[in-house]
Amino acid sequence: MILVFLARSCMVEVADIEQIAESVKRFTLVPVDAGTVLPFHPGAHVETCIGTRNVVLRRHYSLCSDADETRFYQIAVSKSKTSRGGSRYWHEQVIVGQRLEVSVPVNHLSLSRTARHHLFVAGGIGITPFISMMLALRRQGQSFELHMAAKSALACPFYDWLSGTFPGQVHFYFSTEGCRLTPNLLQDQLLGTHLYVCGPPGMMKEFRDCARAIGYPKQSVHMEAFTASQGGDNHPFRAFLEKQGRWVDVPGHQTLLAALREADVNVPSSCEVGGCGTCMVGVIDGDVDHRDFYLTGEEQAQGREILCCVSRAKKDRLVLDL
Amino acid sequence: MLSSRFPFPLSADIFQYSNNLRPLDTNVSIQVTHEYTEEVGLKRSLLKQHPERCFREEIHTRDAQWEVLNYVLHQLSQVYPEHFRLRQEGDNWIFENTLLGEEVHFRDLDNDSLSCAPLDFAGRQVQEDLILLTQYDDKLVLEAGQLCFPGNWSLYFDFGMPFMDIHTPVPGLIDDGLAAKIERFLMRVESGKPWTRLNWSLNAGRRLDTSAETFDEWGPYRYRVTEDNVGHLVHLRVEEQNLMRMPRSNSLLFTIHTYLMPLHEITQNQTWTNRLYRVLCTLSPKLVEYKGLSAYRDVVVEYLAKELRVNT
Amino acid sequence: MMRNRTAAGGGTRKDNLWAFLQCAHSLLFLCQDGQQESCSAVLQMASDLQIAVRTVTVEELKNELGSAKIGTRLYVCGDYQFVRGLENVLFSFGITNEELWSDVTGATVHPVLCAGCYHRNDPVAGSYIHCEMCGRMLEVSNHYSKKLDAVMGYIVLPEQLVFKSEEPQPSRTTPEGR
Repeated sequence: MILVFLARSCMVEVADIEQIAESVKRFTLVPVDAGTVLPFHPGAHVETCIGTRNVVLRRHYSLCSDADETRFYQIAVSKSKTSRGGSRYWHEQVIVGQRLEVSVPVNHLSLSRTARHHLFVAGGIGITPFISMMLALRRQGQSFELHMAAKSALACPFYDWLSGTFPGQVHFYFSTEGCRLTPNLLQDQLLGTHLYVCGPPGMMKEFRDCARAIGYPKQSVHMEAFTASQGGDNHPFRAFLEKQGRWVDVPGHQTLLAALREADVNVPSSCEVGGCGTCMVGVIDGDVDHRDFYLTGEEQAQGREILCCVSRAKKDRLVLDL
Repeated sequence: MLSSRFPFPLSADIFQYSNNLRPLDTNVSIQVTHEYTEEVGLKRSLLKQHPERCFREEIHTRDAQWEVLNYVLHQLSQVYPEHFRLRQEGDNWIFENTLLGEEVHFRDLDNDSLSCAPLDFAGRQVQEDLILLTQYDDKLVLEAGQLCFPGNWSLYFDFGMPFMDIHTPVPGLIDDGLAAKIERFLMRVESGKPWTRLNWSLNAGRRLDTSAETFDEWGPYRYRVTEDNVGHLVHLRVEEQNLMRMPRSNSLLFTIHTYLMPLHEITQNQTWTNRLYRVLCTLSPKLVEYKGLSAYRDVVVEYLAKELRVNT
Repeated sequence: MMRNRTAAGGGTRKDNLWAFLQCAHSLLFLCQDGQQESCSAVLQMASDLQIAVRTVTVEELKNELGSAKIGTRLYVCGDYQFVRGLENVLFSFGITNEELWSDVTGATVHPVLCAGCYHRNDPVAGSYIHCEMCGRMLEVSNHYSKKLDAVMGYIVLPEQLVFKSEEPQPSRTTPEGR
């Protein structure tokens, strides 16, 4: 097992492109220099990085090959009508032999180690992370089932492969056949069932809400956690330091932390990417545009604290406990 | 030539207990310093004399342990190619440690091809202590570890405990909220993005093995610090803790490298002396107690003040 | 003393119990003999919420768990040993904290593990003990291991007691700097 741990990414080459469903292509990526790719934890994704003529495209795709396969990675890309360039580029421009960079595999979704039964619910291309997860469960002899929605069998990625590989464990719902995937299937599951949902945001929310109402514990409901939106609109704002009784201007190109330091306010910091909580400051007034991943959703909603290394004011003003 | 290294832990004149993790930009989490032979020798003799204190494992972590072994050996051979070599011959891996004059043959994922557990083997090649946490739905649990140089804690006791329970709340210092936030942060650490933090204390005596088990051996020195011996007896103890996600098992690995420097060497550096002096002067009574400094903090402060006066 | 071991956030015991039962579709009820009186409030609340309650014995538990549906909640009441034994069974089955409410009757005192020789000393009330095996003086901490079902007894030096006479608490309740 050759490991390329020290590198955060590795160069791969597109070795094969297959149309596996209407609007879905599967790409097989083989390592260029290293003999093998890193094995990954089931449910992982990679960030792909392709330099085109104009821009560098960075996109996250779930790995849909076997987690133990180290000769290659596979990803499946659905051509989106609302593509920002990523899926269209993959579908129209990428050719066999092309080289790109992929990150070390990362897990935002993983199998529960204590579940008695695993219940997967996929909408269309949302099936991708579940493939490595189901293969791993089958190896471990664990109990699972998949419910998958698509427009039709032709539009359903991995339809033949899923039917052949997991007979009796997969159930399809094709809308053109008038068959709708509804949260009803969440009922009457055994105690100890864990639910995994991947699909369009509306579907994920519907299933999560229904599962909670039925009494699924919070930790038994797993969804791919999308990475928080980085950056976005960086408008300038002003921060009033309540204890010091003065204003600090925060220009659009500067973080609140940097602006405070420039104004000789000593705020301790550590990671400066919104992860450690060291630079947390109390908020007395004003709405916070939270961009950290340290505070809980509840704490963010209360808005009494701000991580000044990444988060900003929603409007033009914040009053800080400084 | 192996380097000397001492990561000075104080970045400000005031010390607060916080989650002071920052990204480990180099990705290098194993440090080989000129104390290598001495410290690895000490680790191995402690492991031999006190196996139950120094190594613990849940048997189901063996796959994760192999991942750590791969990680450690590859890192040694890539970062220190003049001292460590790793090569493959058929199904066999051959690891050469020229600092100790050893060569080991093993087969990947074959427990019988090693003389001990994979994590234990990896730990016997490095100065670092290695702690492995398994990720469950809602918690991280210490399920394997090799610990020879603890800062007054017990692997025997903490083995099998969730991260939150290991960090029992300390009134006025570590509340439940902070430990919970740190755990939540750790559960979201991604592979390929390691983190690092420095932890510090003072030690009365030059001793790396300050386990809770042997407190009655090393603790009494705290009460023997005098004006005359303080510069040589008292050491600044720094733990460089790196943590990283293992991409295959999804476990979290902590590497802990412990450094000791006597105060008379610290005082060779004016900035360090000044900073340590200021931090010790302003340390809250709770932290003084928590770090075990009550008995001799004043003697150290006095000594540092004198050194500062002499040098200005 | 009755202690709820399901941390369900702030609020009173009644509020928390209400919140716990509200998500329940049915309730598995396990009560140690002689403790039924302590459970009347819970049964009343379940009845108010029209939740089907099934009383099961320890022997029946494994079978019941095997066929129970998601949305089932479990209520356990008894002395510490009784509850701890059941919790081990339930957690190894994959039951989460959210699905379990435990009421412990009587006092909870844990054995004290000697940091020096690992001897398990019988539970005691008080802050200091002498290890029955090696004689070392130990400070009884609140550092508790579920796996060992013991609290850590940290070694205390004679010097510590003399030195800190104004506050006889070495208070090394957790490892230093961790």
